[in-house]
Amino acid sequence: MSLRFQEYRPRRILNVHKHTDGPWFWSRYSAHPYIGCRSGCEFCYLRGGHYLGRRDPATFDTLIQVKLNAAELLRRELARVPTDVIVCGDWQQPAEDRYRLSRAMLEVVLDHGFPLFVVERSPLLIRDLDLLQEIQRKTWVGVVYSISNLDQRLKLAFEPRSPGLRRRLQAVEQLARAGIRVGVSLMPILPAIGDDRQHLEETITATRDHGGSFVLAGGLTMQGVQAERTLQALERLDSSQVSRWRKLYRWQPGAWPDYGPPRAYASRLGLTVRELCEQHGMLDRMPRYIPPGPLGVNKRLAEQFFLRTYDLELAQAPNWRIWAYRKAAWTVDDWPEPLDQVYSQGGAEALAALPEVGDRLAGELADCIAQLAPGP
Amino acid sequence: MAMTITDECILCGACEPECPTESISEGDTIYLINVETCVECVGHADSPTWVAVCPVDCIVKL
Repeated sequence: MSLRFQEYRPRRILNVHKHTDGPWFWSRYSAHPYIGCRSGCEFCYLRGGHYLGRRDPATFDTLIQVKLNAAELLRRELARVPTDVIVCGDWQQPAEDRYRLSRAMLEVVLDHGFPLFVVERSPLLIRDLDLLQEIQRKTWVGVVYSISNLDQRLKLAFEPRSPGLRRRLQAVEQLARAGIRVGVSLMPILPAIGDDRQHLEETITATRDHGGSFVLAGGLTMQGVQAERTLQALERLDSSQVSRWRKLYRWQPGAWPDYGPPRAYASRLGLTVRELCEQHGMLDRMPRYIPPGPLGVNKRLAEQFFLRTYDLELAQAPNWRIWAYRKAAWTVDDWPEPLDQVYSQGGAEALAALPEVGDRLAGELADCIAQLAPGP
Repeated sequence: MAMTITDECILCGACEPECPTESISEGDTIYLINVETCVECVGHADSPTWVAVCPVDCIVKL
C-alpha cells in the first residue's frame, strides 16, 4: 500500500456553486489542491461515486493527485468572480507538508480579500495560523474541525490513518486562542455505535472546553464502494450491529443502500444535538459571514430563512415547505438591492413580488426586516 | 541504534503510547523519535513495537 503522488496541471480549480450552501458552510466557491487522501477513512463520502469521477476508489488513499498550479489558477479565477465565501485548501499529510499548496492558496485568498471557510481534519492547518489571522483581520475566517466522535475504538475501526483526535482538539484550541471562529463537525455520526447521548455529549463538551463555539451534526451517508467498506469496518468491529445498519439504510443483500438514514432518525439526532448544545452553551449552526455594505442585510435575511429550513428538517415538515423557504432564501441572498430599502419603498407587496417569495413569506421577511433594524 | 519517522507520517499518533522508552513526541508536521533514548525496543519486545502499529509504515531504521 505504498503512497504515490501524481503531479499535474489542471485547467481550472474553482468550483462555483449556484447558491450559498446555507445553513451549513455558507460557501459559494470551493477549490482543492489535492485529490485523494492518505487518511483514507472508510466512511469518507469522497470515496463515493459523484465526488471521485472516473478515479478508482480503491486507490483513494494511495494515489494523491497534486494540482501543481493550484495557487496560480486560483489567483486568475478569483479575479473574475464576485467576492463571497470560499472553501479552500486541504492540509492532509504528507501531501501538504511536501507541496504547501494550501498555504499558497491562502495567500491568494488574502490578496483577493475573500472570506474563507476551512473544514479540516489535519492539525497541519495550524502551521498557517498567521495567514488565517491575516484573512480574519481583512475579511472573515470560519474553521470546522471534523471529529466524528472521541471514541478511540471507533476511530481505530473506521479511520485508523486519520490525524489523532487529541491533535485535532489541540488545533481547535489554538485557533480559538488566536481569535478564529472555530467549531467541530460531528460527521459522520455513526448509527447504533456512536449516536448515543454519551458519545455526542463527550464531543460537544470537548469542543466547548477547547474554545469551539458551535458543532454541526450530520449522519452517515452511504454510497457505492464507500458503503461497502464502511459496512465491512462495522462487521470487523461488531458484527452484531450489521443488521441494524442494513435495516436503517434499507440495504438488501445484492442491492444498494439508501444514501442517508430515514428522516425520523436524522431529525431525532439533530434534536438531540440541539438540546445538548443548548445545555452546554453551544450553537448547532455556524453564524455566517455578513459582508459590509448595504447588501449585508440581504445576507442576514437569507440566513434567517436558511436556518428555518434546518428547523423544519428537524421538525420533519413536508418537503414542499422546506423548499419554499430554501428557494426564497436563494432569492433573498442574491437580490441586487437591499431588501430593507425595497420594503421601505414598496411595502410587503414589493417583497411578495420577488421570485419564489409570495405573500406569506413576504410577511415573514417584513417581520425579519423589522427585527434586524427596528424603526424609530 | 535508532529508528526514524519519515515524512510520510500522517499524524495519527498511534505510535506515541506504544514506545516503551517514551522516545516519540509530536513534531509540527510529523512525529519525532529521540535517537538518544530509542533502543529499538530491545529488552522490551521482540521487534520495535510501534513499527507494527504504524498504519502507513513510515517508521524505518536509520
